[in-house]
Amino acid sequence: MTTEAPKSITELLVAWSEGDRSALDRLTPLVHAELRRLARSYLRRERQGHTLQTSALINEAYLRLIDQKNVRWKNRAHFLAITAQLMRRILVDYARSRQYQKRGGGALQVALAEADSLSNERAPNLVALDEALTMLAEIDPRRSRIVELRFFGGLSIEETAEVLKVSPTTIERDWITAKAWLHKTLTSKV
Amino acid sequence: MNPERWRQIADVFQSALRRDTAERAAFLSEACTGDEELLRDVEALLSSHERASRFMDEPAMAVAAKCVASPSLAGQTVAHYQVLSLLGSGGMGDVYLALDTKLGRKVALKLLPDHLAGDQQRIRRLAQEARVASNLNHPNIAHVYEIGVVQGISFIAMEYVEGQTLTARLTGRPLDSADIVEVGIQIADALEEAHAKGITHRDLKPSNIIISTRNQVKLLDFGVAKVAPHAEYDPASDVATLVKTDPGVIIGTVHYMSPEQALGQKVDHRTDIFSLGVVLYESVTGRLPFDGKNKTEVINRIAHEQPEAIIRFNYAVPADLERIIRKCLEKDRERRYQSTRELLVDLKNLKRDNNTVAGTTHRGKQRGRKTIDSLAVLPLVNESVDPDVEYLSDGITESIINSLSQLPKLRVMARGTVFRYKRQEVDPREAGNALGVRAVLAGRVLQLGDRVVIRTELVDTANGAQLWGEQYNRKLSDILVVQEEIALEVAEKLRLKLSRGEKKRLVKRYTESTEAYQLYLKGRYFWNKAKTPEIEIGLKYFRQAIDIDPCYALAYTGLADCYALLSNFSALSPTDVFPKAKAAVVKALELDETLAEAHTSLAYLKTIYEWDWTGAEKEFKRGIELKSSDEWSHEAYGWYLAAMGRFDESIAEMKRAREVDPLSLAAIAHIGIPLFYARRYDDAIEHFQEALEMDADFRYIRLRVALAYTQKGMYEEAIAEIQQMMGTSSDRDAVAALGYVYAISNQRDKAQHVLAELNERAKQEYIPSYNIAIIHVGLGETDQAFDWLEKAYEERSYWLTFVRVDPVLDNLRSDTRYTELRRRMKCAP
Repeated sequence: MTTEAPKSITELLVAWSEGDRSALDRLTPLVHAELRRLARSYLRRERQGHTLQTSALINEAYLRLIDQKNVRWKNRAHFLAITAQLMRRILVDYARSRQYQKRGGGALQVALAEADSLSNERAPNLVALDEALTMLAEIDPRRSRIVELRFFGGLSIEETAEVLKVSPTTIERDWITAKAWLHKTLTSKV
Repeated sequence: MNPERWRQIADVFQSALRRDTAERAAFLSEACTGDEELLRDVEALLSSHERASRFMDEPAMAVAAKCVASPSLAGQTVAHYQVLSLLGSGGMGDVYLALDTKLGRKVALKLLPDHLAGDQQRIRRLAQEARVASNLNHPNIAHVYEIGVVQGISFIAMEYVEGQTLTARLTGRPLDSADIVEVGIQIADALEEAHAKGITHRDLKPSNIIISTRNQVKLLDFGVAKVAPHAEYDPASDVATLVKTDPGVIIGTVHYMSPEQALGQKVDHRTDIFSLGVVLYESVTGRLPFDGKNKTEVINRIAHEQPEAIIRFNYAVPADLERIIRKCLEKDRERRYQSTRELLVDLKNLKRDNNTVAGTTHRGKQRGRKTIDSLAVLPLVNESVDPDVEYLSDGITESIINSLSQLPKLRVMARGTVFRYKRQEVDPREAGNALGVRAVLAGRVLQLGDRVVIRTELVDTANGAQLWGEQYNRKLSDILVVQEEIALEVAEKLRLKLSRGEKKRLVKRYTESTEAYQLYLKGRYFWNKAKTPEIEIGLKYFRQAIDIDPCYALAYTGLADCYALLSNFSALSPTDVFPKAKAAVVKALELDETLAEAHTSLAYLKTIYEWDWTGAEKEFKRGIELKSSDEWSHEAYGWYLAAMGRFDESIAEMKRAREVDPLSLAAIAHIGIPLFYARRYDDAIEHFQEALEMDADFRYIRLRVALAYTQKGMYEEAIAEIQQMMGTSSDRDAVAALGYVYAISNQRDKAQHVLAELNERAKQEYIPSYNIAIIHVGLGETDQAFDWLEKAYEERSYWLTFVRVDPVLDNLRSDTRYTELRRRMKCAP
């Protein structure tokens, strides 16, 4: 994996955005490798009691995968949007493959006990979140995009503002609103 | 909900957020006038917002990575089973501990790992396993409750056996022969049942054998079992066939396979007998009969080579057992036991014979062995390249000693005694005999980066037999856990019946932070050096530990101990130090009342500093009650009793301290203390000399010798002792004693000279007022004596503790000021 130059990932991303569906298959293992690397760091750090610098790790991972600087791309915003979509796809697929769903319900049906842990915990159930996000897109495509860009694409407020061509303040507000809606949706009993 | 409605809600929500909480309610009621539902929706959103501050604050990548990092399903639900924790992973699947929510019982849940979830072959095997196993009803076979499929995931729910796999027991050393026979009997019994139903296990190995906490053997994992005559699956998926086509493809280990299995031939039930033979061989010798650099080599040996004679690795193996194992391991299956029944008969006969020889009707295990009631934990040897890591091996040793010392039925040698064996390559058995204990725990510690390898063995000193041996290879951050395991194992191996409270105390973790724990170990390491600069380093470490974990009771006692020693060794006056020490100890007790050390420390402080005699005794007794195997608890109590004039009791306690820590100089010498105060000077001197013979540098004991000589009127000898002690140092206690002796022996000029010297020094450093007082006493200058004693009282001088019994103050006892002093020290005559 370390021999993989960031450029080729970018190429795959570009290819994907140009309609090459097979690029997804080739990209997926690369993302998985990045996940495993991140995971190893987490294991090491958690065991040693350090919970610092996780954001640095994550940024690194994203940088390796989505090397924005190398993109000779006409529309950077478009590129980032595409990659965020792709990351969402890959990560949710991954989460789904690891998850055992409760019988007789969609991913949204979260038991009360789990809901509590959802509200205490920072990490949402990715599969459930994905479904909720899809629902949000039906009534509010822009805010759904914001979540996709930030949460799955790893973009900062500023970067998201650049992509969507609105002010960071607007993004901040929308992000908060979207989070509130998602949280509510995920924790309410259906 | 439609987009317009949502926009409305979102707008009100965002506006509401812009207002502070006081205005919000008013704003909301206005904005949502006439629209109850809108108000409700916005409020729901606001409430979610409150709880969602950290929601999604890490990107999905992080979430997914954490998913990867913790592959366990713990916490999730599969069908009606609530997954609790991961028990283990095998090639065929992961096994989890789960709770059957319908029946409320624990089960072992075997699941196909997700990356194999699509593998039809494995799904079929899993189903096969379940069907096979559920057909069998035998106490030595793990019962299968249910097989199911949930959202495409296959699982088997089966009997959860609490215990250890045989793999865990096999640590490269032979097991007890009687145990092996017992295990063999139970497995053979289980196999007999299976064979009778036409089922061959085909994958018998130590990891499939569990020994429950009640010493019952259970067989697991009929995953590759062959069912004859109705083979329900494709023979081409046979393990044997895999071997034939490509040995490298075999999942799991080949070491236990029979020749016919390894060579891809047809197998029958006799293959299980061979595998059992391998298991027994490994148990008896501690090594595999057939091993090699790779699978091909192993298969080759299985097929063609004879294993080494068992007696080469275990000279104590009963001849019959060796014979039985050899018969199991016959390459030609016609020459093996033809049925498990035959094997069973032979094993049972062997068991019966053992019992007869031993003359007991037990399971042959007890065999007249007396319970082990005494133990020494030798300092674990630090094998790491880095000598700075010594605190780790010392620390682990100490922690284990501390844990085990809390067991009332076990006499554990104190740290001081066993640490004499540090850096000596000593035979555990020899050390054990020298120390007079029935068992010895010895081992080695090696640290490599963030891993630690700890090897321990428990040796019976009576016959040198190894009662238990284990190797732990863990992350450094897991040392807390490893220690607990070791302590528990030892307790278990010594067959100490622990009450639940005792078990809890044994594994009680005073902190969850391994960082704090390591700092604590370092603190202790330096404190044990017992010299001022080191103690100060120790103090720093204890403080750091507390910074990390403010609830770390042991770290507080560490602080208190440092302060206590500092006031003895350095120039700090008691009034400087003791309040800090007391605060630390009180805090420790607040955090944990069952901390024996803290009680003893508190008792000591109450005696020396507060003169709370009754309170102190209560604390001493509590400390001893909680940890009777602790040298210091008894010794400190002994000092107290001596100061109280209860000399016989004091002697008893000092003797008990010596029992626990026989090689400790302090323990040897201190029996002399009550003798001294009881005016039995000759006896006292005898004990002091015994200690001094072993360590001539034992300063304060030499001082006591000098004082004893003085009381006997042997002034020359007294002066000689003091001068020997002083050497190049000008110990303020020694100087004062010298002054006293000069005074008492009528060498007034010399005494005055000393007095002047001390007074001069008092301008620069802390000179205890008591030291000056006694010279005046010796000179007969009663007024000055009492002046200085008054100052000593204010300083809380250590020596004043013995005001009741101190022979030096004899000449003052008739004075009212003496009575007054005692009254103020709450011990009026």
